[in-house]
Amino acid sequence: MITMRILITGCPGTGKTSLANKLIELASDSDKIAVKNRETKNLLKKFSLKIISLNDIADEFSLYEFYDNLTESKVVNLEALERVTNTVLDVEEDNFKSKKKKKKNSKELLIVVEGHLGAEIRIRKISKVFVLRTNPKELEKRLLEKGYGKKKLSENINAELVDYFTIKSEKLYGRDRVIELDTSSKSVNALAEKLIKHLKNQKNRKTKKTKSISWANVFNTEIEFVKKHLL
Amino acid sequence: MKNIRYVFYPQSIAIIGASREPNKIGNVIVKNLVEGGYRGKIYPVNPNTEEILGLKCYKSISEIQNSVDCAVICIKKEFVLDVVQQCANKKVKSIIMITSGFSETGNEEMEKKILSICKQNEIALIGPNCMGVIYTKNRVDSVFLPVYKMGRPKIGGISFISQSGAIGGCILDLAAYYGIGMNKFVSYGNGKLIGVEELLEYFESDNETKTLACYFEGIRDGKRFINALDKCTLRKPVVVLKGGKTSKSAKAIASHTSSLMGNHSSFRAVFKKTNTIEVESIDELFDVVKVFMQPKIKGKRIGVITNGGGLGILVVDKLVENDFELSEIPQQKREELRKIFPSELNIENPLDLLGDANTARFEVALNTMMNEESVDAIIVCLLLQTISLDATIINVLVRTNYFSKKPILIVAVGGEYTNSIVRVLESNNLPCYPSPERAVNALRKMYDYYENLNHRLSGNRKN
Repeated sequence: MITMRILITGCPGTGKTSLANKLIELASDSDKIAVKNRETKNLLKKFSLKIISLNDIADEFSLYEFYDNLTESKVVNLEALERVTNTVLDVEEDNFKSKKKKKKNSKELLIVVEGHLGAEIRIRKISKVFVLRTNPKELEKRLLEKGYGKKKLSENINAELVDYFTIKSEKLYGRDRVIELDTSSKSVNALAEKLIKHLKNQKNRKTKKTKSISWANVFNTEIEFVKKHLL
Repeated sequence: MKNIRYVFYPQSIAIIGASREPNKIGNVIVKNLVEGGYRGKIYPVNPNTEEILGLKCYKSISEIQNSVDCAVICIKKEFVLDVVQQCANKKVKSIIMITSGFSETGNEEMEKKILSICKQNEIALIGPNCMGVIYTKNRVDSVFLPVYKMGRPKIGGISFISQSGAIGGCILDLAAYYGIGMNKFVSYGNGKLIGVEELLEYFESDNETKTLACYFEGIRDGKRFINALDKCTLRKPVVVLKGGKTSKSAKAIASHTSSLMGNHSSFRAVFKKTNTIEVESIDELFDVVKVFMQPKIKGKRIGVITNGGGLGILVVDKLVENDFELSEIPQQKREELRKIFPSELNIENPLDLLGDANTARFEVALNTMMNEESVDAIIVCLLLQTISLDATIINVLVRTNYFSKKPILIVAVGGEYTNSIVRVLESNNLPCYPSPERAVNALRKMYDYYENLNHRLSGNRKN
């Protein structure tokens, strides 16, 4: 395998961008940064890492339909995003392959696609999907810090409560490709290591079914919180 | 009437009769457009004010330099005729006339004059005497009820044509409260130029509308009405609530929307012939409209899951009364389930998971029914009052619903706690019903619609 595509998705505020940035940091400087596990370090060295942010693609190619005042967000043309993203990924891979031929580079290409819209469009040849999950109460805090208004906040809290991103990802990419990571309290470093460990298992074709994450307890114990966010 | 589209898709809206005073209709409409996030240009028109809600106010419509796609008129009726003429001069493409006091109060003359100006200038006229229009997707909202009193539904596939503003308001508010998505809403009032006939024609080809609901009191053109209904029901389910079935209501209707209500038995025959779904009440309208959020029902065999024996039995009674069948659980499946479930649990249909059932037991039952070929639809009775069934059931139901290719209906009867769970389920496209009979009735109407549609499509029209 010369190239591998993975997707990091999940509700806004679950830490997708931070995780992607951390991966870059680890890969570019894996000698200096303390990565506990030697194997992880070695695995990272094998990869040439490329992060593709879906929000950036939408920005660069102006794929917005309009700005929605009510939800304070730009509405993306999903069909266009799907088309452009798949093309961008193919081009990246082709470039990498032709360079590899010239330079006799022994590294493999790891493309990390990142964005909540990954659960709305079908990206080709994705081998693993990491759905980041955050306890809705913690998520509320983070989104309020980001300055989310009532409507946008509640929409996202609701989606997280009913496992929206997991369900959509499973429907698009197949259940066995989807892995959930709880980002409620873990450090980004630890998450990055966890993700890499999963990739290693993927390379060795060892797949372990992970326990799915659910915030159903919030429904049970925090019914007022749930009611507050009913749209 | 090609300009109807400007009512729903205007690039610019002028509010003639816009006001600074919070309790005036002309203020509520501007506020709803601004705060609701309408993306086009908003032009308040009022000769006595400089500015409304931060927007420049125009003395008259002719003062606006750019073109106006839609004018909402909410001024006193004495001034309406002048204003309509000004709109025509300005080449406004559509008018929503909130102002009342025309044919419904015997003032036929003035209404005729307005109609003739609109006809001559090809202006699409909604109203007079109407409550306005909503299109959730681009936040067009000229309904004059304030948001804190009547919620606005989220974006979805249900559209609603209503001759009465009141019925429209009730349905919109219910949809917003239960998180049911709607697409377009139009209250058309007297509807002498654009009535139910023209709107049915419009919605037939509106691809965003998956289900059409309709409340009306009378029609203008029988032939056109039947024709429009006939075509529309081939494309999407049309659920109709007809007001005015008795001679006593005729008089009330005349002063409400000045319609001729017609003979109800002839209407009933038309609905039957055109595969239109007729309902008898607002509750039933809402019940039936939301069942169509679910996938098509393909047969009569129903699987029932419950954690309350009595609820299951009432559902079965209603199913049998409505000519449904209970799915047979195959022997092999029974044996598989026997290994998982407690021994005292009877593996039958209805599948009574017993009073101590938890979410895990429901999950097994749901997956079995979902994958079982002999089940065409699933009714899940949730007794949410038990200690063992907690809110984790929401996650299981929402997930099952996303992957299901057959309809799932929920029966949940209860108070505040049950209702809060119901709201979460409904906002995730799972229709919930407060009684067995209402769920089964909705399912039956859905079954009949698709059954008749199949006959019509295969050329064997069933009468």
